[in-house]
Amino acid sequence: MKRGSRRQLLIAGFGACLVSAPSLKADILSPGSKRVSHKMKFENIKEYEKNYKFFFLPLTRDEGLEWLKAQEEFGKSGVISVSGINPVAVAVTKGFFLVAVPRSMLDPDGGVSIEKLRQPPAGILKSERLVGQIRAVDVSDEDEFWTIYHVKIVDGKLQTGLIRHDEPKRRDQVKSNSFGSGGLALISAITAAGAIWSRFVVRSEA
Amino acid sequence: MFADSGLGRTLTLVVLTWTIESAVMRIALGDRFGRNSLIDLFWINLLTNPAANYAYGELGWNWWLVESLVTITEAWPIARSLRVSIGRGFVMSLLANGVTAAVGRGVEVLTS
Repeated sequence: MKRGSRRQLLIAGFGACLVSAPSLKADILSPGSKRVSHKMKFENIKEYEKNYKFFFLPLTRDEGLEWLKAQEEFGKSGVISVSGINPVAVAVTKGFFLVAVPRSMLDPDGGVSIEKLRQPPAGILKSERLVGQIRAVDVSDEDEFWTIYHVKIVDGKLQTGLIRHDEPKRRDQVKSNSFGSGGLALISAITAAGAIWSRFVVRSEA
Repeated sequence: MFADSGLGRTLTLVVLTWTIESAVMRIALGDRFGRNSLIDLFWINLLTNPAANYAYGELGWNWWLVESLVTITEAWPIARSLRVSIGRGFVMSLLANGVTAAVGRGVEVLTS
């Protein structure tokens, strides 16, 4: 293959990738699904704010001003939108956690390093793993989901009691959508198998 | 609108994956990936893509399982089309499907 035509093909392939990106994203957002808002609320963290500052793990990929600002917001409201958090960041921390840091252990800027949140030293309290994020549900389902926890610090342990958790509809409760229908998949597969077979047979006879 | 219909969306996705896989194969194989193989690859994608979307989107099968089954299923027809061994066909299938899957995952990570 000539170098010029290979370069053209590479450009065409790259262009195709760019053009197809939104549809591929839609493909990953499985057919008949929609993105939703999933929020977690820790209803009573104000009870402990005198002695502890609360952090949510993970929030964003990078530590920095943005991270600190987001943590400040969370510390004040006890509410966090988890549906938009990058799944890669969630995988890195092995799930969502609430962390309570004694005010005496905070850095001078009021923050704390991510390392200390991930593997807390004695004194910093980390919850058990919280529920996972809801990012996409069937189009017929709700647009907003809430998970509410009640927080307790007893004997140096941070406990989270699940008060409410909105579950998406199960697959057998939702109406099947036309795109993903098995019939269409079956017809496509049979047509394609026939076409492939006949092409191979014709070619081997030639 | 046709593109929003079930058939339209299916064909759109088949054509998009076909385009990416064709580009990957052409780059990897050069002139050995000719017109016949290009057409074969369209039918191969029509064979697996709607079924994969159904398995993943409707039946809720694990994404890795679906991608693996697609790669295995495409190995033989790709090998036959390119007139290479099944082993090399599998490698080509893995490469083509891997790039398509990586593009999709990459888009999701970057836009999430």
